[in-house]
This record gives sequence, C-alpha cells and structure tokens, in this order.
Amino acid sequence: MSAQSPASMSLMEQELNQAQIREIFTSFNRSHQRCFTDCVNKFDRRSVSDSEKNCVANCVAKYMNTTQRISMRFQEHQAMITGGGAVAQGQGK
Amino acid sequence: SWFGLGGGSQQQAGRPPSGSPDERLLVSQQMLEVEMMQDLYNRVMESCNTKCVQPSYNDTELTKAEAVCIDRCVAKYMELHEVVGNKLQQISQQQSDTAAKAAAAVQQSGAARPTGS
Repeated sequence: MSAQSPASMSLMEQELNQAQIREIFTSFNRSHQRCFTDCVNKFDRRSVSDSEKNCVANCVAKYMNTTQRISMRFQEHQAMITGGGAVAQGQGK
Repeated sequence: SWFGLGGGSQQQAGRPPSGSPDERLLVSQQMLEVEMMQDLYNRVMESCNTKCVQPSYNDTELTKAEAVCIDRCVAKYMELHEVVGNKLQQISQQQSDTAAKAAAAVQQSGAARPTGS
C-alpha cells in the first residue's frame, strides 16, 4: 500500500489502491470460507480442534498458491489477447 | 484491524479536518473494512446455514440440534478468522522477505558486475 499523502496521489491511483485492498479483503474472506467448509465438519463442541486448525492453516497456504498460479496464467492470457502476441506466448509452460 | 486501516485509536487523536483529502481517504479505508465485515457476515450466514440446517422443511422452527450446531458453527467460524489472518500475514511476510532478499541479491550482483552492454 502506498504511504503517499492523498494530495500527491492521483484520483486514479487512489481508486486502484482501493480496488486492490478490496480484492485482498475479499480473497481473505473467500479463503476463510472455503477452508472452513472443507476442514470443519463436526460441531460437537464450540472450540476449534488442533487438527482443524492445522487443516485450515494448510488450506490457506494452498489457496494462496492456487490463486497466485491462476493469477499468473490469467495475466499471461491477457497479455496474449491484448497483442503481446509472440512475445507472451513463449512464457507459458 | 488486520491491515492497520483506519485504526480506532487513530481516529480520536489527530482527526483530519472535515472534507479534506486525508479525511476522505480515512473514510474510504474505513468503508472498506465495513464492506469486509458485511461480506464476512454473509459468508458465516451461508456456511452455517449449509452446515447445520438440513434441507428437509417439514417444520418452521429450528430443532435443538440445529440451534446448538449454529451456535457452535458461528463460534468456530469466528475463531478461525484469526487463524486465517495470522497465516496470511505469515505467508505475506515470508514472501516479502524472499522478495527483499532477491532484490538485495540482484542489487549486489549488479553492483559487482561491470556495466558494458
């Protein structure tokens, strides 16, 4: 996140910053929900068990890796579509 | 808050003048947190509904089992909110450490190599 004062940031920069933060928050909530759904299946008590905590921690890390990879491939495709052409095609594996 | 946005204690102390760009930025940062909490709320709702309430609708009232499940579900969900946040912070810390080390390594190697291309 930029530490510039608002006066020196253009309106576009501010809006982009906002969008980025919003995306981070949403991603956080999504991974939380996904990992909760996949890891927590028993409600015999209020507190979270250690195995559930482990599962969630691993799930979150995996989720991050997944979104990063998808993001990378997505950007590669975007580059191809918007006329990166032959240059971008070489990047894919 | 997780990302240090619009912290409560900051507000009371040096509050920016009304309508200033600083105040507008603060407000929009705080609105992002509000949005996030609303989103969190919706997801808890959806998750615990799915997990605890069986889709057979012979009755309108919750059974005791469903009610207890919901209570525990919400408690667990909120407890995990912190676990997820800590893990994400840890991961992003590791990544920025790696990036910082990589950047430092690049700088060092660049300085050592004579320029001449």
